[in-house]
Amino acid sequence: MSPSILQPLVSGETFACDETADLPGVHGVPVARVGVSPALLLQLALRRLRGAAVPQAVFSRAGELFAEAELAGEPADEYRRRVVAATGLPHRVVSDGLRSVRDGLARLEESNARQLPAPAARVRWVPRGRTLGIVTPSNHVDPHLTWARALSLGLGVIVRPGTRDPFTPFRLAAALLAAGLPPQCLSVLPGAHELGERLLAATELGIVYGGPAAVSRWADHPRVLARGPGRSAVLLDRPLSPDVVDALARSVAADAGVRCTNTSVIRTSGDPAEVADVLAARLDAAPNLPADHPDAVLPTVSAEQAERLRHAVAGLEQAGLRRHSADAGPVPLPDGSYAARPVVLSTSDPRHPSLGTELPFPFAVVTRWSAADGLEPFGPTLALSVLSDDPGLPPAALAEPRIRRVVVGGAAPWTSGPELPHDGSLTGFLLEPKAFLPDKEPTG
Amino acid sequence: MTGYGDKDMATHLQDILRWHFGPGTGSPFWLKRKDSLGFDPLRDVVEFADLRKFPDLSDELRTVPVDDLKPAGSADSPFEVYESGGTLGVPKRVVEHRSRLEGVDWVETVLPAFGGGGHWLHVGPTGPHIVGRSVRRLAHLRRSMFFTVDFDPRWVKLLIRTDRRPLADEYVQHVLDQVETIARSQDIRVLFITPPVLEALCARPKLYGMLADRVTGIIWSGTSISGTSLRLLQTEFFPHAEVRGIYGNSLMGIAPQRSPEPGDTHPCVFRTFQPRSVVEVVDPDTGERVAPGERGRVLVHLLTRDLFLPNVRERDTAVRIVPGGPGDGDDLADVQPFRPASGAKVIEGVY
Repeated sequence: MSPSILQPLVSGETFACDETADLPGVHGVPVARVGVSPALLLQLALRRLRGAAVPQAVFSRAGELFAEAELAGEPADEYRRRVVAATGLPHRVVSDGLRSVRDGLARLEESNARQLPAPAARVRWVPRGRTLGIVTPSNHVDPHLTWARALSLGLGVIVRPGTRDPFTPFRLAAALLAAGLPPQCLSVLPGAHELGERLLAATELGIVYGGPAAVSRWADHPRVLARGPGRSAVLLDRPLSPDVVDALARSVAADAGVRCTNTSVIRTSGDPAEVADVLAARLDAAPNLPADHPDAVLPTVSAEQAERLRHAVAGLEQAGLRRHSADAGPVPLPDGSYAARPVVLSTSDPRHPSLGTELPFPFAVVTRWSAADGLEPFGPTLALSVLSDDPGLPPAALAEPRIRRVVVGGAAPWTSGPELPHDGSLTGFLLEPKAFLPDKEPTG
Repeated sequence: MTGYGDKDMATHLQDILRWHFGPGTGSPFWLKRKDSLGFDPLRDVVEFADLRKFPDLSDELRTVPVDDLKPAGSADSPFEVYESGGTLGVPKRVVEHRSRLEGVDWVETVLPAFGGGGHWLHVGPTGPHIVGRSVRRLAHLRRSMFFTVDFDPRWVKLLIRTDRRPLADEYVQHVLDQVETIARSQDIRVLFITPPVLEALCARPKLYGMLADRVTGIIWSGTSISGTSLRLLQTEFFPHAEVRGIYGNSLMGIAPQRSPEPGDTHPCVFRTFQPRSVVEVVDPDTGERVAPGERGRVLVHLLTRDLFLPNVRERDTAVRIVPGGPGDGDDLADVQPFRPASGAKVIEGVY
């Protein structure tokens, strides 16, 4: 088997598929060839899958290997190069992701404990299912911590990698196995979209990252957690001081604007057009650089994706949104990829149907907000940043079920910590409490 | 040459043409069309390549009265009517007395012993689909009891075409429930089954457990399967069974997977019952035969006394393999649905 083919990993065994697909980079040149797992391989993986109690030391060691070591013949630099080429994420974002996954793995056990209530004598928190299927995203390295957490809680895990980033799950799997993860705990099965659907239906628990269609497909399945567009927002009820502009620009464009916690809607009590002008001017300063440049801050996309994104932006302008940015979408770079230039739009209509659109680059729509509106205009919102002097707004936002994180002032909406839920508690999804009543103890 | 009294292609072809275009023996279908062909089939069709002069009239099989298809020379023989899958609309009808049964008798000689003994379970269509009779015949030739389940491939295709995939999945489970009921009390050794249903069977641990060690033969057919899946079936799921494929359809008959030969690069090579059922792998645009090892569209010629159907463009593609033995036709490998350039969605369903 050629080492440049990423082939399915079934409980520690690499399985060479005859069917493979080229994975083109954002510059149009193939970055890797990836095996296409048939549905039968999923059945084999399910048969072999067994969760196990895995000590924290395995995850800590795996994190170090993941961030630094040569794994399956792939040095960390080569891994970064391929992820950058295939996803168009700026080099720095991938490097930060490597470190953040390493740090997250080092604190998994602590984080698991801190996301649960204080231990009680006759209560055990146990997995809600023995197996987890997960369809991972390609927009960032961080979400891969999710399935490592499931492994640490004793579940057997099968990963269907996102199409553009099969590298991260294979590398993380290699790191975990090298660190001592029992092989039967994990399979990584690259394959078609349909394989992901079958996976989610076949395992006892499922997690899927995807667009609005994937989310609505699984919305009514309590055993599948669907993570889609964040529709993160800012409520701006303060004058545009330099600090405020900094906070806005960061929340829209940090990490190349690809996180689900990046702001895509800004509702302001000021003049939306003025806010949009200032924000657009700030974001327009981002340089046009290929993703592998150390100073790159914008995501890059393929010619095909660039065309789609330009079309999407044009559609929004036709729908009545006003553009304040210099560019109306991605622009070509010398290496054949396209820099996804920031796009800031505005509308005076706070109920414009295009509000809530999310695009995978620095993108935001600014609109009007008044105190009388309260939080009602905010629909499902992963992170709401409240920039206001009204002390009633943060508690009201916390009380709003559709708002999943509340950020006050200029803190980063994606701030993570061992005890912090991302969107509800992942441990709360993976585990449930059971009464455990040994006969040696009084039953009270 | 098949050992069933058939002559070489040229002789066989002349025999068939004289039969179907002879005023006393031919079918109304061909006799009515003889004068509008633009050539004289009895004079101008001498060798195999001349069959290309005929138009592909298979679409007419959707509506022609079956009486027109029956050769006058067989007036006293009982005939059966069978239909194609109906993937592309109204099914095509064929008539059949003995020709196809003799093809099945030949197929039986090509298939391995499958361990001998035990019963056969047909998890595939019966009813208007000729495959039901063919597999029943195979089982009988092996002196095995023949179990069937009700299996309606057209319903599944309709569900998929109308975007009701969950219902199609439910139907497959219904079929497998019936399989499980039989497997619970009966000594099933050979399965005829389609790849999607076999895959769904492997996803049911209890049913799979009942059959995995017991089954000594699996015949898959009806839809395509990837090489990787085939390997998984043989090595991981049914290591005690011989896994063989059959390619075919209502119009051409069944072509079993032949035994491996030195130099094979494909795990599964299908061979037709020449000279009665002959296939060519052709360029879909030019109609020219593709080079050996190349992929092309499957072109079928059915040359039997019961039915004459030259030049039928099948809805499959395959890799052309040159047969080791005599014969004008091709062997086939890696059969897949034909995807027209127009990008129409291909629905394979469960059969």
